Amino acid sequence: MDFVITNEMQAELGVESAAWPYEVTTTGIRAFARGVGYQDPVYYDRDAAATAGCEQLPAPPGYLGTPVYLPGYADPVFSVPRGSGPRPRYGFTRVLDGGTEAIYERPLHAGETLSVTDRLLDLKVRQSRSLGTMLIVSREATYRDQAGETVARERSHYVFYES
Amino acid sequence: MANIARCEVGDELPALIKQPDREQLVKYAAGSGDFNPLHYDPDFPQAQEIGANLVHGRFKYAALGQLVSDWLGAVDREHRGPAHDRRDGRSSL
Repeated sequence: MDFVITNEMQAELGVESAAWPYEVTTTGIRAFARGVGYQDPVYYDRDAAATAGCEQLPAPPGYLGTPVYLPGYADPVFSVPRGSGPRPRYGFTRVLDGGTEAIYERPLHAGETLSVTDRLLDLKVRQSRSLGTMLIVSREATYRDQAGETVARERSHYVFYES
Repeated sequence: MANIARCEVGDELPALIKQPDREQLVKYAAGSGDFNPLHYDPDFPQAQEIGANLVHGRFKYAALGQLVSDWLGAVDREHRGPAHDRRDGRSSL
């Protein structure tokens, strides 16, 4: 498959999305911790969190809140607001995770609502012996608290290919 | 014995062994919101092509977070003493 990154595609780089609310909740923290397999009670039990010095359940590493899900506005597969997550596909049908990096400015705790914007950082075309032509999409999401302070930035990379 | 004040670059952290099965990946899908069938549906075309359901990339990323969190938690409890290692099953919900 031949694929060329056009000027029109390049023009999408760096364009900031509209902000979307992400809620850091006790239920979200417990569900994420359970999904990962944490046994540490600090992510489940308010008393254990208090003993560890946290007034609310702390968010485990990798959990930056749950995007508010609105049918028609959020992606039904990835639960993120449309316009973020693994996109643009430019016709590619297969996607793999290409890695994640996050920078935290401070810890997050249950009870916070964050405002998240997202932008396309980079597009690359690579050839793979097993997957053929790959489009590597990099995005960056910025998480801000109610005071407008940046609390975290997360870079996500996606690998698109054709079967 | 672990001591965060004495840890140095190059120190090895305690191993965390994960063996995620389909049930665990369904739980992770629920916790993360990533419901890509590649991770739980054996009939999903991409899973058929690959020959297996893949572990979420972010599950591996999160597991590394757990490895560090478990280590720091153990270090923290060591400094606070055993009275703070509460595993009696009580909960305040």
